Amino acid sequence: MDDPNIDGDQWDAGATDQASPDRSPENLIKTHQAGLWRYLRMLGCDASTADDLAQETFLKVLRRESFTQYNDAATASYLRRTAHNLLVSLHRRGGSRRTTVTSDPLDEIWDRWAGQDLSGDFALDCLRECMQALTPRAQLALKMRFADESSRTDIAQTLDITEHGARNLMQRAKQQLRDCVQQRLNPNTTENT
Amino acid sequence: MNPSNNPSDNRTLTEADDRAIDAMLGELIGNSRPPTDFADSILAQLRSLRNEDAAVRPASPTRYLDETAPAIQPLRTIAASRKRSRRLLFVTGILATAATTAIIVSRMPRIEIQWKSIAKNEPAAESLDGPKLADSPARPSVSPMLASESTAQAAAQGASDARGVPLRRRDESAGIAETTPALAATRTAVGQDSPVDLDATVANVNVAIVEYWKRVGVTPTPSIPQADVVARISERFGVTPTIQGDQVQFASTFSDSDACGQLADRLVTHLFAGTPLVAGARPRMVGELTQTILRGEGIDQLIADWIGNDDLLRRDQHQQLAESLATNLLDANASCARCHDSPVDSRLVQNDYWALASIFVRPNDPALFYEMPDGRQRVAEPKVPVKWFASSDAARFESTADTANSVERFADSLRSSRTLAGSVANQLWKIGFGQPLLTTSSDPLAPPNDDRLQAVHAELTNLVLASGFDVRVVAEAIMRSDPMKRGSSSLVASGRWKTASDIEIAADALAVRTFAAAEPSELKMSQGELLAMMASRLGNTPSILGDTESVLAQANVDDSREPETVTKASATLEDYAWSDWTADRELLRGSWLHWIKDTDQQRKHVLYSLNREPGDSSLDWFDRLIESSDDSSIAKDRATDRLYWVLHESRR
Repeated sequence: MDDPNIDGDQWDAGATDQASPDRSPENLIKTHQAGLWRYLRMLGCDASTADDLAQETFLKVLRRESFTQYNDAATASYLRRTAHNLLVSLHRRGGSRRTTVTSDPLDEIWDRWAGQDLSGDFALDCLRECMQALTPRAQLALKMRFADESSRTDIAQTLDITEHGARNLMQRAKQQLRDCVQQRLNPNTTENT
Repeated sequence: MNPSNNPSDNRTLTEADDRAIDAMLGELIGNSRPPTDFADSILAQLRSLRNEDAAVRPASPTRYLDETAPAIQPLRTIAASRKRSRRLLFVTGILATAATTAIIVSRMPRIEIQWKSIAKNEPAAESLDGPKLADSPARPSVSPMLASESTAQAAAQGASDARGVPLRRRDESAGIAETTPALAATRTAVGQDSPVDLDATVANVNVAIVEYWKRVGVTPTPSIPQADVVARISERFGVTPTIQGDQVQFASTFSDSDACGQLADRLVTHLFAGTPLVAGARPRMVGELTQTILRGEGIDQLIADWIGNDDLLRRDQHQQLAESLATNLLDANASCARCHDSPVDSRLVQNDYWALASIFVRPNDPALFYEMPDGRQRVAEPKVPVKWFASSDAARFESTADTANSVERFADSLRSSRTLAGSVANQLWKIGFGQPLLTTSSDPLAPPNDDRLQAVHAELTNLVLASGFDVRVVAEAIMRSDPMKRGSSSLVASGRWKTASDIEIAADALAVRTFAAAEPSELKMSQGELLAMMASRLGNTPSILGDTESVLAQANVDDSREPETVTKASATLEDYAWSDWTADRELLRGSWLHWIKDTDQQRKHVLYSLNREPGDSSLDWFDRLIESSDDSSIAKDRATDRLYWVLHESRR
């Protein structure tokens, strides 16, 4: 199945940003590449797939003569939609890798985790701070899992718990991180209890 | 989904959130980092693509690369004008193709004419002087190839095909020992017009498969000794190459009728799996295929002859014929389309399924009716489904007024087709490795697809076409491929599987699935054993096996609560299978099975998609598992996943 072709007239132009800085393709890439890459990673792509699809997205968009940059937020959303469709096409070609395409609305996952930040840097900073709130054991478990790529067995041995216990520890830590990050990204929601 | 308002609210992470936070942690703590700067490489690619476009049409200034570009036109105008130019390009392309085809047909070499002459039982031409041709849309160049001086002499004396193999008349009853030049002759062919370059194909296949392994992140296992490779080939293909020095030699592999018979037997099994045959048809088909392989003839012709032969296929079994032939010969698993349009492959529509079934209806039989999803009934109109063929084959349907409503037309559409070539390549690969190279999108446990894997398939398909559907050539290519030399994983070889972690077992399973490691036969479990394994972890025992004691029995179906009583010393084959299952279950969670909301329908679809009978009594435990589950859809979905996995694993 071919990639869904996004016609330029399918998305509403936001307010034209008359004071927009450099709209060159180089600047477009530099401005949005980190956010796009992180978005693809959040959809479950591994790093190399995210690299490939991000580049493919930019090429696809920049080759469209009808593409217009109205403002950064609209451009970012457009890029994410294109990337999402490329990922769907990748799966429809028969891919059965471990990545799965979320059934969430396109931008919901990004909005939930990165908010209005184009690059996702703020979310990462929040995560860094939230990590400090975890217990030392939880931090160690996550460090072994992601930095050292240790197996659950090794993590369990180091912490002197069962494998099942190690799994639960990391799951609870991630839940706490999720809640903490989303509180920081959306502080107004805490006032609405 | 609203973020939690209470930091201590440990709601379960959704899969989407889990992936997102894993990605962020991977960047924060781990080793994955966003790219430093794509700009230079992307802009370079963009300029290159623009230059290529300019070579086709006049360059138009772009908005970004040329600051003097005119103002942007209204978007709708741009879209419309691009559509017009694309249409013009399409029409121009069609005309150019038609003109090229006309030129090629008018200059067809005598070799093609000789094939036709033989079909008409006319004397064949005596020489093979013919011009070099460009590739035709239907098949590549078949310029005469003189493999060696002896073959050249034989060619001068009598007709030969593109490989230098002397042609045989179809009414000849001469023994098969007349001429069977060794395959080595084809490999050492000189001349730039050689249509079969086996060495190059094998090299390309190996390069592509190694790149595929890198992309999917598997490490191939070490190679096994040559003697073991030969033993493996012998077991799987039924033919036995020889070893000379440190090389495996295939020169005389297919000169033995017994060996060819073994391969023929396997091929008939795969190419006609599930096809209803007349009693006694199979041995005859194996015999004919054996002769075809020995003589190095194209099996496409033979298969086409079989399709049209009422003495072989049971034409009263319309649906089974349509399904099995589509699956095995067209690589189109159309079982979904029996009842509705396939939700995973837009080519496979119900109307086409029944159209294909209908062509097997004999003239005096009643018309075939089928029921649509909304309950309406429709008469099936016989027609070969063009969309199930490769796009390069579709042109043959457009060239005839009769767009196929007969068995003969269907058979004819298979001859020399890229579609059949791809299926033959796939089935031969399946003979060698237990699973096909490419599977349909409806199998969630298929090897991860990638354009490198498709490149392997394309290379083998091209080889089938270039060799004129000579099974010997393609089989040898597969036997010489890199995956054939890979041994079992180190976990199995060393016995470490008993103490391996889930991650290591998952890596092993992926290596086997992607042909980077041989499947460990010693760890294979039967369906009954797999059912028992599933049941022992879920508190339910399949009735067929009686009571099973297990310290791992749990009263719930939540497999996130892994058993805690297993220690390394007591790990069993069941534990290994369980880890294998946990590695695979993620692949099933997003599959089409969960688009079906009704549990009973899920089970029926699982059974049907895996060619199992609905009344299989050994699966009664599945019903009891559903009954013992809670009402959550998650639990019931997992039960379906388990069923699918057990049946899928136990049929390999």
